[in-house]
Amino acid sequence: MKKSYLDYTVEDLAQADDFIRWVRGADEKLDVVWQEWILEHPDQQGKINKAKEILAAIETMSSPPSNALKDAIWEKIDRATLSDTQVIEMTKPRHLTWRKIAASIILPLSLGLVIYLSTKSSSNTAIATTVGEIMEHQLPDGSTVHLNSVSQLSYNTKTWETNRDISLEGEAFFDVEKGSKFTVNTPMGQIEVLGTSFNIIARDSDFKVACYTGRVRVSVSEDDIVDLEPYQGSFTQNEKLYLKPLKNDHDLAYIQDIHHFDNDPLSDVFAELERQYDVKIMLPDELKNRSYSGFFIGQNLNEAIHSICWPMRLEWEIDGKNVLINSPSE
Amino acid sequence: MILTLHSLINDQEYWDSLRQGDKTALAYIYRQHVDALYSYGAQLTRDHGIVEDAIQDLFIELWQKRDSLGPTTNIRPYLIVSIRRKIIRLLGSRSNQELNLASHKTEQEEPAHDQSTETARLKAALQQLSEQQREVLYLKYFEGYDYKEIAEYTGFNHQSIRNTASRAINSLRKILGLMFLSYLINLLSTLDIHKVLLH
Repeated sequence: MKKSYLDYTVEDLAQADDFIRWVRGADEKLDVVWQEWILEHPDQQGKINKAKEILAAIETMSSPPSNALKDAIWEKIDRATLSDTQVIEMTKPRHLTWRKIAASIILPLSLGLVIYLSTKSSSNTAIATTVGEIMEHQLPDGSTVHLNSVSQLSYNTKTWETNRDISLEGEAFFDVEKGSKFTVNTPMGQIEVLGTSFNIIARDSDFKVACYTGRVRVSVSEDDIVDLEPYQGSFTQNEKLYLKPLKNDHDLAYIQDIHHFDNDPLSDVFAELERQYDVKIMLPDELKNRSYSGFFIGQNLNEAIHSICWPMRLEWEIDGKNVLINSPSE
Repeated sequence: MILTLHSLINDQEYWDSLRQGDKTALAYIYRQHVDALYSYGAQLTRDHGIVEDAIQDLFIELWQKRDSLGPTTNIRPYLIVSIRRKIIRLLGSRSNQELNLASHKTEQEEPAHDQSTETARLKAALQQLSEQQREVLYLKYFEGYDYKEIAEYTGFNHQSIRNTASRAINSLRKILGLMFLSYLINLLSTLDIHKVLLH
């Protein structure tokens, strides 16, 4: 540490990068250095306290908008930029009260868009969510779909009435109106239903289907087919289908921004975290297969990481968009 | 070093996708930067309606002008400079039409009930600074720009930015000191009253 800090005024200190980084707790090494410096120069404590108070005041300047406001501004941007786009991109409003007000505006608009698209050469409707977004979308027959983060689906609006056929990659929950055959195609397999509600995960090699009401037929090949009854789920292992009973509605909780895990490998848990918060998580290989049961809630990265790492006695370090996970050093 | 490189590549990828007409990229850029843009805008004016309008205009314009956008490796400074320009223009046109200003909705300050009195005290101290002082502090302490960069983004000269920052911090120190003093005086006077009552 430079000697010259002794000559610093309170104002100089409040502008010094090392001091700012220390007060913000960004660097543990700095903490040791500054603590030692204060021990050596106890007369400097008053100066440090004053500079700290100035920084505390400055910290209160941050005034990010509420989620509802962010969604409302985005809706306006989205509407103003809709006319020349074929990919519909909407964020699900997180506040019900706001959603009720907006519903009357958005519904006619999205209908208008569907018509617009079907008269153009492309009658394909595609919806995609980015990191951290969860979207609710209404299909032309009134069926609804909740699309989890980093997922996409598409369907043909022209042939929808005769052929309810959807392509999905990622995770989605469907609540299907009764009617003609409803089919969801994923890279791993196919799901066929009549009026029902069910959840699909079709990500990388992960292919899970959970049936909540009605009846669902899942197939990965011509002769590997299972029929799911309510509260039954299927998963694949070595590309073969298996049945399992569902405990509760946990798989669906992401619709409310709660992400549950039940004996899932840590690599899956952190992959979900990466999709929700747009961070890069570095997980040592030896931890990837440890299993985790619990949940994290959206909105706050710090708390989410804490609720995963703390019970598992893992240490973590957040550096901007990067999170480093570690076993505690002995 | 790898860390910054990673975020740069990300930024650049999304920017390039936006230029190619990918609406998802616009949504992504919005989500990435809206908190910072709003927070920064709120230093320039207390009329949060203007900040909302400026953010809206900025992103609609990004989409409309996507074909003519140049390449960039770092989106944030570009957005900061653009939002600043928009807010100043909106403030200019609003002040010419005072009727509009009066009828324009302003977001109420958040109720203080969930804030400790300490936070309320610190916040109140900041409100006594000028808009320009708050802007410079915000860019330094939240965006992490140095005075040279701030000068470049705001168009003021380097030395005047440095002076503004020093004056702002100096005023903060005085305001906080005075607040503490008046708090002590209040405390003492209530103690005196108790003494009088006891007698």
